[in-house]
Amino acid sequence: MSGYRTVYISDSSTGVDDTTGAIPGIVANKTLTVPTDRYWRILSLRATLTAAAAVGNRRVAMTIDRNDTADTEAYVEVRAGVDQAASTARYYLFVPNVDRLTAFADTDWLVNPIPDMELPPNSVIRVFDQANIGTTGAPDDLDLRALIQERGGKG
Amino acid sequence: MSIESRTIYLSDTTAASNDKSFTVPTNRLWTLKAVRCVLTSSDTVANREIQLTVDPALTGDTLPYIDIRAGVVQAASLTYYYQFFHGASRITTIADTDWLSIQLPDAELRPGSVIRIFDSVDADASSDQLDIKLMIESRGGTI
Repeated sequence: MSGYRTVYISDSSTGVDDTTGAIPGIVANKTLTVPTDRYWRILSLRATLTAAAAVGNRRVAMTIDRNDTADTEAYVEVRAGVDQAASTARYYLFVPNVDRLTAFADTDWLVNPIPDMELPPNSVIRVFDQANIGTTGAPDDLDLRALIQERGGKG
Repeated sequence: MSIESRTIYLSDTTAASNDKSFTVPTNRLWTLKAVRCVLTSSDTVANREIQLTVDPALTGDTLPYIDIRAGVVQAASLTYYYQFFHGASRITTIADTDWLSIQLPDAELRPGSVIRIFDSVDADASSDQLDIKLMIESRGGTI
């Protein structure tokens, strides 16, 4: 196994895109999966949710699971904890060892702490709207930017 | 004993329990990275209080060395999600109607240590449902 390096990972595909296949009814939903020969530590995870006109309060959450069909529950679940209304854009940052904000700062920015740990291969990081607001005809748009400390593979 | 750490997943979703424990194996050292517990309370009227403790499992010393309280009660017929991890912000009221985060110490636990998550009120041991998901940084043993 090689040493650590920091990598940038981005998913800014639009609409109902879901990198591992759609979960029925949930519009804002994206996942990043740790490759089979890698270990990941999340240094920073930035999510931008642009809510479409469909009325409803979005509630962003971030989870980590083991990607096992026999064990589908999350092992880590972090809620943004603040609602986002229709037709707004909000910027969520998930990073280790920060204080949690309970209201948007600068009108549109929220930060939440996450566990500081190394994720085994195949772990799935998911960011989604728990409230399941939106339609496929007028989808919300969720962009992810992850800064990952990675080891394993050929470097 | 290997010095290299790796993160492992542990789960206990056995039915009808409000008190669950995990013991560090004799040839391992564990650091708790994340603990998620989901408590579904029965209709027995009482306020539940989730607590996490760590003790060395010594017969002459049964008190916990770590004692973390959720600090928020959970009434009957509800499902709450509790997320413990080092670096969490402690929330003093339920967020998103059913979610709470609580801090943990960043400590490597010796072999034999017992991690216990339970309802300190013991409101309904036979019908409450407590599911636990652990992410552990483990070292030792044979990889």
